[in-house]
Amino acid sequence: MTRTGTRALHLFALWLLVMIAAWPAFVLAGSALGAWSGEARQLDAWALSPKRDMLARFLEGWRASLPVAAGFGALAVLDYLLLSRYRVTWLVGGILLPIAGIALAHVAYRDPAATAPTLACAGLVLALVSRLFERLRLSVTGEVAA
Amino acid sequence: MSERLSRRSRGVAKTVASALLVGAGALWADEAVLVGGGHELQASQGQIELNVDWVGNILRARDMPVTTFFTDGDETGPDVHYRLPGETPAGLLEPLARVFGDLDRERRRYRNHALPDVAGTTRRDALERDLGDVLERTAEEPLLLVYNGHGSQSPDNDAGVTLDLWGKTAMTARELHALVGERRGASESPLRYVFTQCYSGGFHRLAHADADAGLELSDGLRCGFTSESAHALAEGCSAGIDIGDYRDYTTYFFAALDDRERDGTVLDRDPDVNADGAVTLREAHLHALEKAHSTDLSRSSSESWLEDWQPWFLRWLPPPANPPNNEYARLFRTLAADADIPMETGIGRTLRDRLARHESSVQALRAERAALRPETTALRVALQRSASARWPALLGPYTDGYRELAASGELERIAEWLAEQTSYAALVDLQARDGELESAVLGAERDATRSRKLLRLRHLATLKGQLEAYGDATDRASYARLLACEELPLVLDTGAAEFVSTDE
Repeated sequence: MTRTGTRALHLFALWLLVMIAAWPAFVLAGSALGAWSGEARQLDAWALSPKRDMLARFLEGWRASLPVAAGFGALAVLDYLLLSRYRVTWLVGGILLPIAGIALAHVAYRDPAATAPTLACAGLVLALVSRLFERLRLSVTGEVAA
Repeated sequence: MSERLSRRSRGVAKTVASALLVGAGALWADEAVLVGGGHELQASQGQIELNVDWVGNILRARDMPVTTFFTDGDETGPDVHYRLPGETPAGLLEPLARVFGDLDRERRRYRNHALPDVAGTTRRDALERDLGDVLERTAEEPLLLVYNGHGSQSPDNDAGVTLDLWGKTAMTARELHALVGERRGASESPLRYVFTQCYSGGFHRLAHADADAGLELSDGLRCGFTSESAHALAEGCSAGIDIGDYRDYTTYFFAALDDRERDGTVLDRDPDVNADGAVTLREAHLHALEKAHSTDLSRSSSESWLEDWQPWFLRWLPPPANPPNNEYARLFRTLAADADIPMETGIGRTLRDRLARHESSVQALRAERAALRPETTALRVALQRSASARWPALLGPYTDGYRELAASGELERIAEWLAEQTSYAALVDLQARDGELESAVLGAERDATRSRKLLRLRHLATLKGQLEAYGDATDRASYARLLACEELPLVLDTGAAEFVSTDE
């Protein structure tokens, strides 16, 4: 495979990975913050409702969030293209994802102050995922970070 | 007392207004159907019969025609069991029951029900036919359907929960949904329901167009109240006949509608929140939420709808630190104050800590109870061996040898002999401790439910705010329709054109 082909495959895989991980990251962040506040409805649902209902709700959210998740995947690719070129920027690679989370809270929600922490945390989780993916790529290809 | 008079005077004003509406031809001849009783004698507790009788009297006192279906209908023979009051002296054979039998059943008695004007049995095939006839006959009139009995859970779908009917028959929420749809069609005359059995929440699907899934409401106007979700047991169904012990949803709900406690005393809280002189079913439900210290997390159709409505992008978010100020938030503050829970930042964690404490208490009490059982069993087996060594016929209770024992009065002497054994006193103590632990478990479960209820009220307050912020016109209209239906008073005296929610 040519270098361009390999690079395109890597970018596609990064997009796909972030798109798939976006909803679980959102659920994880929301549930963790809710559990910390003590008011996570998930805790009661887990204790009082069938697990199949929670799973169905989770999958419903996963499907419905795909367009937004695809946007986050594209943003992860853009983030990589912009910030992976120099070592100093490579170090902060993934930063656009939590920023985008905060921006989304302000654009899509009526109460950004309440939702921004969850979306920022979800963005951080996605940034971590993309960094782990990058580390994996470097270890497989033997390349050295910029 | 003056508050009571004030409430009464408002009620009179309402009655006068009703009379004026009658003159204007706007009065609806609303009816009620009571379905009650267990699915078999051993599951047909006296409390169910007393509930049906009490609710029927409340409805009849308001000139509401009531059709009652109860257990085996008018067939002779026992269909209700009850427990002898605590002050009743122990029977002569109690030691035998403690050692060989079932102490609970020793104090159990059986009789035919004493309800007046029972229209028929609750056996599935007959009930389906008779209830269908009532639904069809009253299709253009408001109808109140009240169920007092038992229910079973569904393994796969909320609409599969059942009413457990006489003769061990059953009717699922899905089947009742089909029956109502077939016989009542798209009638705008409200069908209101109160289901108080275990797993009753599944019957909120009656308010929907599709019994199995979806948010769309049925064409006909339907709303109601259930004592629990589709996944939890409900409190109640005691064989005891001391009404002071009852803490089931029926007791709180209908006490609010009757404007007095079940024992006839004045309510310590006016359920008529908007002070219009008539207690609506929704006000009765909110009264039950506030007053009940039970294991029930009761819910209305509008609350159930709100929980289903919550969209995917809000469902997994942590709730806001300060939920919007609505009736659920106010109820939360009242209940939190009653429970001495300070209104401060981090109240969710306080509630969760309390819940964890109560749940661990439940676990500890259950473990203690479980640990007692082998000890109790060992004592019973030892006493059984001693007694049967002297009176071998005891081991064959349905034999001629046993009949001879009973006929000769020997059973009483055996009971006396058992009571004199040293290990018998230890057995009595263990069984008494078992009963105490059972009560303690129930108390701890009620305390845990109070924490869950507070958390749920915060959630409902948030959900209602979210509907206002994120719901579209269809969503808000559906919710308003359910609320308007729930906010109707027990006896309707206004036309359908007045179905406008007064909710803020």
